[in-house]
Amino acid sequence: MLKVENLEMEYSTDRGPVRAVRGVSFEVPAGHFFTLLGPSGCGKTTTMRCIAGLETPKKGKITIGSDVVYDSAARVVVPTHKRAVGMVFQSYAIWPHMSVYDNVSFPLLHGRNKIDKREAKERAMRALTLVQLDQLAQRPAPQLSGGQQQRVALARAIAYEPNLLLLDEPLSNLDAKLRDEMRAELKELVGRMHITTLYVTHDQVEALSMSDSVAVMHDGLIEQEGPPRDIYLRPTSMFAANFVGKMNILTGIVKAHEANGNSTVETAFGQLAVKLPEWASRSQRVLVVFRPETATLRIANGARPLGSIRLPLIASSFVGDSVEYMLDAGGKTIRVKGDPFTQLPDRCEVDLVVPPERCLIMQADQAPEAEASSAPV
Amino acid sequence: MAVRSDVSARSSQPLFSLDQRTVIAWVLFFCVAFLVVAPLIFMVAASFRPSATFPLERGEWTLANYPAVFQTSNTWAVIRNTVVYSFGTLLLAVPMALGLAFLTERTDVPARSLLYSMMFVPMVTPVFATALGWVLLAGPRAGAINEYIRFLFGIESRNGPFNIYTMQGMIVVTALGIVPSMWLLLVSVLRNMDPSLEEAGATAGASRWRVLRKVTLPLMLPGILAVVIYFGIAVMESFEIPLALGVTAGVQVLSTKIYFIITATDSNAFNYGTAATFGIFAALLGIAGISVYLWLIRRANKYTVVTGKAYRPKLVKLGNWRYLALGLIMLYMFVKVIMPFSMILYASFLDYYVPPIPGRFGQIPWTLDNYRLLFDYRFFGRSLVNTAIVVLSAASITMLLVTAVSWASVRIKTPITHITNTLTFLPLAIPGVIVTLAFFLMFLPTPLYGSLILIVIAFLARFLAYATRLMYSAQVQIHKELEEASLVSGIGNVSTLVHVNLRLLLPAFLNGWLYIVTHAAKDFTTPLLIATSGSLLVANVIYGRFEGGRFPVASAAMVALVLILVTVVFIGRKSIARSMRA
Repeated sequence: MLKVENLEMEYSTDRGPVRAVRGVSFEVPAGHFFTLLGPSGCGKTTTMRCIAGLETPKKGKITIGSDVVYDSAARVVVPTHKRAVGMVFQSYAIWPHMSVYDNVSFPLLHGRNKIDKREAKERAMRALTLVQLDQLAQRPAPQLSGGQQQRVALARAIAYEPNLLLLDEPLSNLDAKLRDEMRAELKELVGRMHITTLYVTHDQVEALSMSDSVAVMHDGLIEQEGPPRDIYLRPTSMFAANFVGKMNILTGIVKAHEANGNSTVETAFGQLAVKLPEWASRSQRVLVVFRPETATLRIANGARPLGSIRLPLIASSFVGDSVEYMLDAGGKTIRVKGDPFTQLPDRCEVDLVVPPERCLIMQADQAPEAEASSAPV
Repeated sequence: MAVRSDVSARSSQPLFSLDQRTVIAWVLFFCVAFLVVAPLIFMVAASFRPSATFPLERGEWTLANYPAVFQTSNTWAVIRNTVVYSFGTLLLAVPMALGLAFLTERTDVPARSLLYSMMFVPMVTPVFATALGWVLLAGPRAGAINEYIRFLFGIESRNGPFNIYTMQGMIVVTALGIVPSMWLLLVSVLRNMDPSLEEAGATAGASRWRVLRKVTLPLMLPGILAVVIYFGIAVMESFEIPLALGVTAGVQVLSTKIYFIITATDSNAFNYGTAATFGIFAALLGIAGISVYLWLIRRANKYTVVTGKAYRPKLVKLGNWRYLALGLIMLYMFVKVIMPFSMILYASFLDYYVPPIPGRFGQIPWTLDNYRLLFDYRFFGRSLVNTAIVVLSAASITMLLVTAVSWASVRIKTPITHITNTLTFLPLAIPGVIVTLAFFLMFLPTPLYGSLILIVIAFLARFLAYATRLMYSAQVQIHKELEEASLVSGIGNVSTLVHVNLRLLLPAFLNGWLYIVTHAAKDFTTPLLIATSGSLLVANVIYGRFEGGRFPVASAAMVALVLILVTVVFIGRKSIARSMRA
């Protein structure tokens, strides 16, 4: 349905050109919900704006359905208003001089395929009913709440039945509670319409919970692409691992690499039982990477159990549905999520175990950049 | 919420293709350059030409004009007069405007909202009307005030005690005239101050006077100074009062000096070179002044803490003094509006001017002839139609041009649009007389000279700066995504511009349009400098009668002009308010 090939985009700024997108390719099958996930400045919004025709790329090819809308080689640039796309903007871009109804019907009356007033009314009301705003149709647009404006924007984008729906961080301007509600509602709505959707967000929860497929972007490139489960559980790069959720990293040396699974990595705090990938060999320096919720802690008592490491517990905080423990691994903090009903005492030694199949092993040279990236806002 | 800085830094825009945008940018650049730069080039060229030569025709070039300017008999007197006139006016006007602004904005003076709407009346009336009114009030011989004083005190002399035809008279009338505009700018300086800064001072234990001196004043000082300098330039370039009063008074300032050089009819060898050279000096003065002004504005803006929070400054309670304050404001309105206008109205019904003093009431030659004369098309109607054509086209063309320029400089961020936007600032620095002079020099050898088109173009250049500021700030507030949403939903470029962008700019557009209509219609400078017998405006007609001493006819025409202006502004403001609600 949507095919993006080797997309490149540059901005000229006061400090010279900035390569915002450096060769991005992906494909979204018809009816799929595809998400570009990444931090600010990673090029995700730029990629979407190139697809909408709001930016002109430097290189590449974009195909929507059967139409080539951009092709640098063939010098094809289809202007925005001739691409059959619907878009919801981050600011919603609700036209403030119009009523809710006018906002939705305006594209039907003046857009690509002009239709007569009666049909436009029918379609606009259908779209407004879909987002449950039919009661507010005559209200001036500026008098709506944020959530309502967001739904008007959605109704406007789907009323003329575009082939492709583009959603540019549509939930980021809502407050936390409303965001949760709208996330579920949006997913349900888009699912019901079977419309091909491209979604841009920096919020991993949105990306993981709504998408059929997620592409993690970093520095103008796609780092990893796949179903949400893979992105979260089997990140292939340090960046993807860190950006999507929290990650713990320990450095170690491969001690044993055996086919039966009895492999171990020697860290500064003891030996961890892990499952090693093919490429790892004995004595190689590797990173052991695991999510806070995969590890379990037990108060140290006598000898350290096999396959576990022993670390001092320095702090804990009760966050309601879990307890977050912070362990000191030689200056580096290891986070572990624990059961809220059992609280370990502060300032004790604990033994940490991770099920071997839930540990990821990565090459040690990926380490530095992983430190820098932060959790999503 | 994450703020994405990457969006604002975008240079690439969706509306129109890249090529179309380049064309738009260049077309706008040439329009603005034609209005702003070309006349200056002609003026500079003219300053290097000997007498009886047009600025760009073939022939010799000379440096003689520059020393000549300082060798003419009264150059130094003109400069001294200009300085005294400017400073004197500021000295009188600033305390008045500041006092008015403080009383109306920061105290609980009675009937504040009424005062606000009342202040717009003096703002839309011609400066020349005040001058005319005060001539009738304080003319040395037949001025009503003088006659009254002589009558009451039994003074035998036929002159005085007051004489409006003096430097002092010019200063008083000019000061009265600029106070409303000055008040308007000062009110916004006062309003932009966050009262919590004052409250913080008060909570820290400072007395009200101390807060005023140590917090309020320093915070507002750059803003106030900027206003003062802005009006300093305005007075320095002002032309109407020096012409109306200064000629009889024998007080020549820069603007009238230039006027008399270019309108001199005594010799056949015209000498625009000297006028142009004077013009260049005045323009340099203006540029220097405006540079200081811009610098101060930047500082003032640094201080303004724009929180986006709607705040209402705490009002100073005046107690019983508030009635005295109201009395002072009323006194100003009386002196500025009621006194001169009642005199103009009175004179407009006379056959010849007789002061309204006891003992002569029986001799007052009442007549309606002056108004009948206004219905004589060749006398007044034609000039009224001309004025209407000129101000309506000037306002419409200016607003369309600046809308395009603002759109381009906000949405097409290229060096060209940036330069264009900066160029629109230039007329701010260059006195109206000089801009008009430059156009006069530029079009003198062309058939456009003496046509209404030339007057329209001159007005375009004069109102460019103000209108661009207005539309630029309106355009900045329109989120780019509003246009993009329209394009994405399949609406074409032109439709998007009309239905989304222009529609949202409409209130600002109409406000600017109305401002130009009224300010061009009440302007006497440009028509007096470049209108010819074929293109006379109302201003020329009024000045012609005034100069010829026919005050009753001039008064009747002035009454008509003021009534039309007040009506236009009244209806205009109503319909703008309606368009904003819709």
